[in-house]
Amino acid sequence: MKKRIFAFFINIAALLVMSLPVLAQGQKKEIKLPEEVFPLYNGTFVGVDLYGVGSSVLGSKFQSSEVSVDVNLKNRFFPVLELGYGKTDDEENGISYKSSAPYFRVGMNYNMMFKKKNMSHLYLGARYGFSTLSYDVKGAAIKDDIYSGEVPFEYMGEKTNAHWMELVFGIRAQVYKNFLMGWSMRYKVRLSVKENIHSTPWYIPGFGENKSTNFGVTYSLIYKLPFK
Amino acid sequence: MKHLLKFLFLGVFICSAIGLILTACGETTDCSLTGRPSLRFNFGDSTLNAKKPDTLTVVALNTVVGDSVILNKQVKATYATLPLSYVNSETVFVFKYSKTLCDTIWVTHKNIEHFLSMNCGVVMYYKIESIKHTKNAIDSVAIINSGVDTNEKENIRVFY
Repeated sequence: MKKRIFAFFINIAALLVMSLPVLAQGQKKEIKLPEEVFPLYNGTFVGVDLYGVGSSVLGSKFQSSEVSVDVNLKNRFFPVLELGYGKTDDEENGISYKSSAPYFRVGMNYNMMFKKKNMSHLYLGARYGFSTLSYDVKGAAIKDDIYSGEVPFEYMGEKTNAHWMELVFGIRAQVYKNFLMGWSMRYKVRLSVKENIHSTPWYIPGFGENKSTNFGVTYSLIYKLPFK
Repeated sequence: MKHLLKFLFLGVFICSAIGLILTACGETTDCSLTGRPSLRFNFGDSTLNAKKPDTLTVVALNTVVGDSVILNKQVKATYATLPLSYVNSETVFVFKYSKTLCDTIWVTHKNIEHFLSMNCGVVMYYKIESIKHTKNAIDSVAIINSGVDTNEKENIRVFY
């Protein structure tokens, strides 16, 4: 627990430092065009999430890599597709659990600053997430202290799938020309997870620990593709 | 742009605060489904030509110490929760009503070990497949719920 809180503080501190260049850049550009009429298509953005990789270095049990693609429509709607790969390899209380699998999310962001002709903005969004995964779980034999005897416990290649929804609040800021960075906070709600006869999946790539709700953070570096 | 800077700071602050709170709260795990599940017998009303015995002692056979008394001279028992074997597919109980009157019950079950989570570990669930019994005092038995878990719901009803 202490390790996780310490890791969290270190993480926040690192990201604050990383945010400074954005603030410095942001002061240089200030464009106010209140009544701008935007065309339907305003560009495509490709992003890479660094939080999933960084959090595992700082002590998280889970690691993920994620790429996102979103399209600016009318400077207001940003349909988005997120593809990622999550994995864990943990051992606690005599149980080892190993899993790695891809996941995807699809959804839309709504630009709360759509009147401004500026790539930097705040947004609210929603996602539908899905993952099909397999996992290995192995533990010490279960001892029967009443009737005697023990039962070995080892299940490899258990297959399952999971669905969830996410509410997203985020911020995106221009760093340099077509480069941006962004934060998002996500409230995740599990819709369904298929349980197996001998196990309940513990980790769901893209969602986190298998609980009814989870909280997530992304920190992304984003590039606006140079064509319209 | 000043507003954007404020929002940037605000975003980072909110991220930090919510993340810290939820990280701390996330440590709490509900492990209420752990523990050794027990087979629950409920004792139904007497049939027309027999009556429910006043006292009940239940002995489990083939335990670590031989035969173990699970329930000892319980007066007017309405239910009994009894452990099943992790390893064997049959568990035998002797229901003693007096020095001269007893019944034996053979419970055939499927053992299902189940991993819950890293914090809660592995538990053993069961599925009741069949029941045999003598008819010294027992008239009949009925499987009400074949799944045995930690919810302590009625699994078997015994009629005298």
